[in-house]
Amino acid sequence: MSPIDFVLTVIGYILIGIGAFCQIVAGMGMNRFPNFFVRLHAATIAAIGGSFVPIIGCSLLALSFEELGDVRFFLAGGGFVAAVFLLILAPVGSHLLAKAAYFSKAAVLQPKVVDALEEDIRKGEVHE
Amino acid sequence: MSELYELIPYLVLSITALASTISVYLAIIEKDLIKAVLYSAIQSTFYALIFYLLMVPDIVLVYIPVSVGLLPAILIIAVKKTEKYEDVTGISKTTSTIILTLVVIFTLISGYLLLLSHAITFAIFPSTDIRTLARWFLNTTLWWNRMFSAMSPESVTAIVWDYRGLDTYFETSVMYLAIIGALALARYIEIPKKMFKEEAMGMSIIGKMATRIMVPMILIVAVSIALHGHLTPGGGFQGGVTAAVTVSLLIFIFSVYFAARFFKINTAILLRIIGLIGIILAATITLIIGFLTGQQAYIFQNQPKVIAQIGLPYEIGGNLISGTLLIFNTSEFLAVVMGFAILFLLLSIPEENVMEVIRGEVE
Amino acid sequence: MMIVEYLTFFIPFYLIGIVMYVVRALKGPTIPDTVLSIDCLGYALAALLVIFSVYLQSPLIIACAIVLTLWIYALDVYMSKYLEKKELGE
Repeated sequence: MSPIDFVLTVIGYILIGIGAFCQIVAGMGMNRFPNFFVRLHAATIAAIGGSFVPIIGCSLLALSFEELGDVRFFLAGGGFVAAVFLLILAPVGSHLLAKAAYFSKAAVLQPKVVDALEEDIRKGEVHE
Repeated sequence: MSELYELIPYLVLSITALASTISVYLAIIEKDLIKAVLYSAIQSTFYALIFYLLMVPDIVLVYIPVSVGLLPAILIIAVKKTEKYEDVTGISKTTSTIILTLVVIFTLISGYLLLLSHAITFAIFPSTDIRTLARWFLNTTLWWNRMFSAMSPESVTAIVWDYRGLDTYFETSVMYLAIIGALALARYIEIPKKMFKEEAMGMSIIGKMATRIMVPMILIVAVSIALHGHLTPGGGFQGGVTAAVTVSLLIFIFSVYFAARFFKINTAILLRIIGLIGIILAATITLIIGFLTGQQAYIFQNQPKVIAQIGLPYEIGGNLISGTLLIFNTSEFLAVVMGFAILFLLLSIPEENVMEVIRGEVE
Repeated sequence: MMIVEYLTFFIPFYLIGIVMYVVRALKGPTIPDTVLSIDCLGYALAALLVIFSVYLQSPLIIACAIVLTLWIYALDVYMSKYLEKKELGE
């Protein structure tokens, strides 16, 4: 194994480990947070930390995995494309869902400290 | 370590089977129909993982769009246009708890038995024995003998479009008839032509911007899935449903008027017919050549066989195209994406316009 | 031993995460909660698909992860369109 392959393998495993940690943290947050808008934070960790990071890690790992032969570049390329899609699409999806849930009052907003958006709407600065 | 390595797919399969069984059960007894649709979407994602672990990526590529994407979309549209809650009195809560407990126990026992049998025999998953028929198919699609092979390393596409081409042709015509039926139901209904402000319609500016960035990338991925269908998992239908995401995103995030700038319904029908004509031409091209030159040939013939010496070239300039398979995949891609475009456009026309036409007909 | 066999230690963590998302998705008091957990579930499954593609050493099955990501996003869009209570095409 060449030095560059060794570095790629180590970085890949570190990223996959970060992903595993983020999955556990996000799962706990998803179950223990009180309402929908707080759970959005856990969803951020799940999408970016728990999925985007390990996919990049897996692609790096695949690049250094010489037993696969030339097909490993296909695997790494597919992984990078999936990661880029996830990086762009997951936050946008969460944003659309949160906006719809807020304005349609579908989500419970019960343990509430302050709602700045509601005040802005009342003042007339923000329209739906 | 290596025992654990063997065991991990079993662990994943057991958890997936358990979770999908529970979500299916909850989807059946749920009164809120939207929640039922979401539960069935959970079950579909888990089934995708099961199919993936059993090494059938072609099925995954069909199953995910159809059951995670299109089925919930159409059901959500139907629920939105009708009633949200089911009106039937269901079973009581204690009964449902008992049934759920039984389901969990049964799944756990069967998973345990699976693990046990694996520990005894080490030969269930994935099976290393291939039956004679499967071995024959695999050998002839992968075997580079010009007289027997379909000249495609992807055995699924070879079987679907070469060995069993007539079956696939009739499946395609079933979907064509379904689209024709939808068009007949929605006759005289047109997308209303009106001036509209792009900012005032659709969803927020963030969604619009991301969609503008993503649509070309999604199209590239879809076209590559379709055009590499004879080399890697995928094919015409798989690429077509992936490209159908873009149509639904344009309609739902911008508006149907914005999408109608790119897709007129009549143009979509025309392109779909072009795709179907492509399929028919590719199916009969050897027959036509044989008829003109006076040689023996068959319908859906791809490569030359022993008794019928006509066939299409399997490579151009060193690039493998597998004869008719490339034409089939391209035409099917066009037909499928345009079919779904027609369906989404018809379903998203505002209800007032539809009702106007229907009332006008009734009176 | 091959380098990918060390992935065995990480896969159970992803499974625990997925099980927790499923619990929230089935429990979720409101519809947006369920959709959000299906999001997390789908993205975690996409990551798991890529990991299994390396783990089982079959590179050609990678396209499934891309398609899964796309359709989970499309499910988001459908559900937020449903919640907005507008006409579908407007």
